[in-house]
Amino acid sequence: MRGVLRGLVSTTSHMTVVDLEAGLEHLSRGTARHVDTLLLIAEPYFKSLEAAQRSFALAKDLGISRIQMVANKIRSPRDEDTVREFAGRHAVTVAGVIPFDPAVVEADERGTAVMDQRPEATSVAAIRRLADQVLTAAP
Amino acid sequence: MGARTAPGSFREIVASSPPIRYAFEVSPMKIAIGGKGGSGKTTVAGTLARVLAERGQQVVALDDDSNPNLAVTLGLPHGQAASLPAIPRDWLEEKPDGEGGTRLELKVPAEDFIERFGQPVGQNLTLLVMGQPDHGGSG
Repeated sequence: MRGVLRGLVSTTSHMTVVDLEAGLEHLSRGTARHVDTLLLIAEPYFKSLEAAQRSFALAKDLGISRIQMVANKIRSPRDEDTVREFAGRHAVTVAGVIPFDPAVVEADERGTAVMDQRPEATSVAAIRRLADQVLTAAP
Repeated sequence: MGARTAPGSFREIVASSPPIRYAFEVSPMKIAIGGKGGSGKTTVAGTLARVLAERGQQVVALDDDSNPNLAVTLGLPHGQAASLPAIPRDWLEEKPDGEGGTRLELKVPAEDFIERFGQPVGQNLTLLVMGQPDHGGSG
């Protein structure tokens, strides 16, 4: 399917959001060439940040033009600092900070979308801000 | 412009033409979301896609995860998202992959493929789940 994915991403006139395979190993150079922004989601824990670090290296090697982090499941200012500091060390910007949100846990448990379950949820508000950031930041 | 613009001259034509829209100004944005399994990647991808669609963008959401769950975060009832059925052979062609082998590439325009196989989700949003039931998740 990599060829099909590449064909879709490269030639569609739609705005495109791709939920990638975890770890990026299956992302082909051909598809990566057409990705404008890669958002790497990371939690404020060592294993998550370590995985993000491997993904940066892969993504840079694939030539993706813009790589940004999104800090997720943030419970405290310290959590946020952990991710920001990590991003800073790798010269990557943080495009969004999403709080830990029980509404997401609940939606996952029920097999529903958090945006339907709790449209006013803090995580949804944070993702709206993330959308602003992604759409308006210059390449 | 200081110089005189003679009627019908090149200068006059340029001066009186509407502003040129370059391709990169109107090119739709391609966003990829990566992250360790469990990081919240799929929740972010799905919610982000819906936020963008809400704002009037025509969005295609592609689920390239081997554990496809994007449909749920888009608000599709559980079990309603279909994987791609077998793609008609004449929609694909074998092409050299630049590494001594060949790869199946999409032969038809992306929009045809999306129209045929995409699942509409509310307004402005279409989902494509990239895995195929007959394949072992490889591509």
